[in-house]
Amino acid sequence: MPAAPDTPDGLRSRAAALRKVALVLDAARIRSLYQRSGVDVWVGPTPSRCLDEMLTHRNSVARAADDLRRVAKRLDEQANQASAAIPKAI
Amino acid sequence: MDISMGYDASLLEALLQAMEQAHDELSAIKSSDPAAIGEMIKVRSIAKRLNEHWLPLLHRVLGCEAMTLYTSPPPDTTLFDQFLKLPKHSGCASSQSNGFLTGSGAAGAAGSWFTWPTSAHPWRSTIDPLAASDSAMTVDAAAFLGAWVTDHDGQYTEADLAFLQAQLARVETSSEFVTAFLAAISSSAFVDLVNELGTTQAEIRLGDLANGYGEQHPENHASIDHAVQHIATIIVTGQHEGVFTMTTAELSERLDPYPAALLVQQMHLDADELGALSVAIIRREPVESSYAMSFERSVSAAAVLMATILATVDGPSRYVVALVAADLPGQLITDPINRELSDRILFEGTRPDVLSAGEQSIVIPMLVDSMTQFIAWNPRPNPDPDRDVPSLLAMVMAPYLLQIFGPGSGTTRPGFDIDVDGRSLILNLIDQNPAMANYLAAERDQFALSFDEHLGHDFESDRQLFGDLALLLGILDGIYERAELASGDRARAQLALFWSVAAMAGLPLPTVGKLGARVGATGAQALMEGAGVGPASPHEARQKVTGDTDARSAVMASVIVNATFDAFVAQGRIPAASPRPPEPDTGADRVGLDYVGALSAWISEIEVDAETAAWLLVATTTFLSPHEAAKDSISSYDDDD
Repeated sequence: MPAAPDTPDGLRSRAAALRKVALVLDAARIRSLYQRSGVDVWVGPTPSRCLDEMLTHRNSVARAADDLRRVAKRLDEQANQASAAIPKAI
Repeated sequence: MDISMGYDASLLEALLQAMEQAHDELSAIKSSDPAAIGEMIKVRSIAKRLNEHWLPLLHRVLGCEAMTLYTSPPPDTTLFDQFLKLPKHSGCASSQSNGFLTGSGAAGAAGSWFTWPTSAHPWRSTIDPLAASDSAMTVDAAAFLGAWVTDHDGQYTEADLAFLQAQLARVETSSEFVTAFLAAISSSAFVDLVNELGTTQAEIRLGDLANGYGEQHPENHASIDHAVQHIATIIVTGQHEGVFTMTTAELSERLDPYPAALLVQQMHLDADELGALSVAIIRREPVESSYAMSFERSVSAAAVLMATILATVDGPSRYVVALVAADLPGQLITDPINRELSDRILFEGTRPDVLSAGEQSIVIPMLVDSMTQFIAWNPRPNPDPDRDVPSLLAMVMAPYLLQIFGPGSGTTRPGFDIDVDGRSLILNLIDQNPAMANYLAAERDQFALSFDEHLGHDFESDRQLFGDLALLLGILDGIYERAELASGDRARAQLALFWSVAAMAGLPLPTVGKLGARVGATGAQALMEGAGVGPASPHEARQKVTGDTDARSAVMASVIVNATFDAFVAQGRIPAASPRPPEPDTGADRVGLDYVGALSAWISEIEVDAETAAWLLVATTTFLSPHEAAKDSISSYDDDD
């Protein structure tokens, strides 16, 4: 039975899941598509726009992965704080 | 700017496959964590963009051989070198555009300059999908467009048409672009382009009609209309610049009728050229085009051109003249593709104010002859029961009755070259077709059209005008009599005509309105009705008709005299205290003669100068006498008399 999401275990579980997603994003082909969209493949207004867009997508996905890792780190910190607070309450 | 795009097909195929995999990967990424909502939205948005924009575009480019221009390896190493100098992965459209499609201009566009570097695979070039939306035109791009059209094979897709429309609109903005475009396109490719556009438009329109859309979805063919419009402008510019050597006539001859009509429609030709071209195109249509034979008559060269003719100043008359010059006077009558448009052209193109006297003397007799022959050979119900050719004939004849039935000389309207047999044939048609007499009785304004001269210039011209009016009334009365129009109807038609012509001729009568109300609506009307008792036998009918005519003529003459009296009093030519002119006694045996006598006595009573007196008397007598003469001339064609 999964832990409640706001419990220390739940928070850590969420953080782990988010890191997995971030890893998937790191390895996603979208991040390398720009390398296949250059002037050695095609040239012209549309290819130029395509290359620009693939570069933008690469950066967006990279940022998304970084953001997910930051969120995961924050969740870990919240979990640690919550764990530290439980004995005091007892 | 560049409108072209070059690519290595195998590497582009690899990009396509990689993009498909990237899309699948992104689509598979899931997270239900509320803290990841923003990132998931971002990922889904990228996947959506790949799926809805880039993947279809790549499929389109790779799958569209028709848009591909050159696949051969590049012989031009200079260009290859230039290409190699392009920055790699710069991500900047403008930097890549430099050197792309560089060349020496239009002559090279269709030749070797447009080539691509290659290694293992030859590069291909095609039209860039973006070019239609957000780029400016250049000479090279115009040349490329010409080369692309020349190399195009098969039907244009919707995307092609949208692209063409956008690019042609840019080409037409400069004579340099036009020159480059025309130099790069072969004449046969140009013809094929217009034919293809026209055929596609016909298919779209026929499809619309078959689906019941009618004209409700004009956007379906708007792209083609606009493309043809731009082509027309390019032709005109090219002709002006001397780089388009075909005349419009030569070009339209090489085109199928419907595409030719679409193009001519957009050329804004003058009426003479439009008329001549229309005749040449429409006469080819029944033989060469299947559209004219389809149930949708609106999808035909004739419909397109006739609508254009009607929208062009002097269009209808020039078309009618061109038809007659081509010895095809019956084209509007015998097998019209669009009856409504044909009838309007006949009506508007044969009016006296749009044809010179010389043209009238040639055009009207030929049309009348063509129509009488048609009616004679196609007794109703004819092959087209809805086609009321007798009424059409009446419509065409109406403003020319003096020239057709008049004495031929002694009037301001010399007679047409129609022999006695021809006139007899027309009158016999009137006998057999009550619609003709009814039209002639109802459309009185058409007769007034023949009077384009006004009263009041001088004594002689006024006398001529009265004489012509009297002749016309006599001719009409003879026609009404032959058609056995009810006497009341005849009287009303004649009086109405009289007032129409009086108004048209601009009688110099400041009180004409008042007089019209008094004499026309009360006095004259009462006189007419008093004279219009129904006959009891044919003999009595003839006597009554003769009497009726005499009475009506006298009443009309009295209207002229009364009106002129008021005008002369106002001008001081007749003393204001003078007694008013006499009115005819319609109960008398010889109404006209008695009226002339009474009028002479009245003139001698009042104090007027000799010229005024002569004017009053001559106006009356010329009105009365020719009327009878003209009526007799109509009767002379009556076989029964």
